Amino acid sequence: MYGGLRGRLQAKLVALLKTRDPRCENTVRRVAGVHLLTPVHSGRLSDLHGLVTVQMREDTRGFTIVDIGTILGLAHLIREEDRRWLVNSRIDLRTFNEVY
Amino acid sequence: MREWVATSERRQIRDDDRDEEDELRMDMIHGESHFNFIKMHLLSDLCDDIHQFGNIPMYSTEIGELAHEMQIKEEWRQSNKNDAARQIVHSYSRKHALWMRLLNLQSLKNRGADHSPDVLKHLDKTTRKVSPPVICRRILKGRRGDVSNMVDFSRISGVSLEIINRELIRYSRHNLPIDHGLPEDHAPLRSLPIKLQTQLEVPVLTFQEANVYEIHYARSMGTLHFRNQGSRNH
Repeated sequence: MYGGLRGRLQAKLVALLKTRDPRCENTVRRVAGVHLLTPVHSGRLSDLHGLVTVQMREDTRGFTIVDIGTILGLAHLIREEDRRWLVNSRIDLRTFNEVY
Repeated sequence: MREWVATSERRQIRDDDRDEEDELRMDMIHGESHFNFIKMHLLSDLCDDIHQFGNIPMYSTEIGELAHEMQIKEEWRQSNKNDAARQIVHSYSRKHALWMRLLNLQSLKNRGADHSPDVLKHLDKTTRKVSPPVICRRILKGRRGDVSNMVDFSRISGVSLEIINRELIRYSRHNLPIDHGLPEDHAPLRSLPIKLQTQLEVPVLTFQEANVYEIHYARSMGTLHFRNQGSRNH
């Protein structure tokens, strides 16, 4: 799924919410409102740079609510053009921060 | 007069020899003093290498350093420093063979093989206790006080209330048990009490580590766009 992203998808984190449901013994749920990005060419790696490109969805279906447990970590996106980014999969954030 | 000349000549010859030795020494020093060796060369290519081949932990020298400590230094300390190389090799080989034997016995024990009480007792003594994996929970931080329900959230996030409700219902249907699901009417969803947090700490496993985590700090962006800057851990 999503080609080279192997089932993971980048998203913009819009909000982090804690909801409390009075109907269910005040159960607290921790959710995140995110704006999902779409992989270009089904997440196929580019022949040019070997990276996956993602872009912002134009429609309103990009916004969704997910459990915060599904957030795996931060991704490093490099701006390619307006509303379109390369997913840096060559180097992890820690090494990037150490070197640059 | 002849003696004086001879002394002068000897002194001249001695000075010439000394100068020649100094020059030779300086030539040797300059010949050996340079930074054109592999360690310095690798540093100059580090950034390009990361661009081309990926991150550097996979080329870590830590394993080699650890092996040097375990295989050489510890054995050296335990030797009597007399023909130490042979003792180091013998000692480490013996330890390695014993570790392998213990691992085999442990594996057989796990498969249900019968061992004598002595072996079992020894295995219990020597087997390392495996600590349970540390479960790192995601932590929410930084509460914003100006949001108490979905209407407030819609106002500050710029997302319409209709879309928020639709997505909440979809989330509830797909992720929550039926008897603990969120209400599907819009009115109770609007008044659902919420707290808006600004930061999430996500533990991420460090490369090639089983129990070591580094923390990524995810911050909610609201209506802001991505920054066109270098990466950070937040």
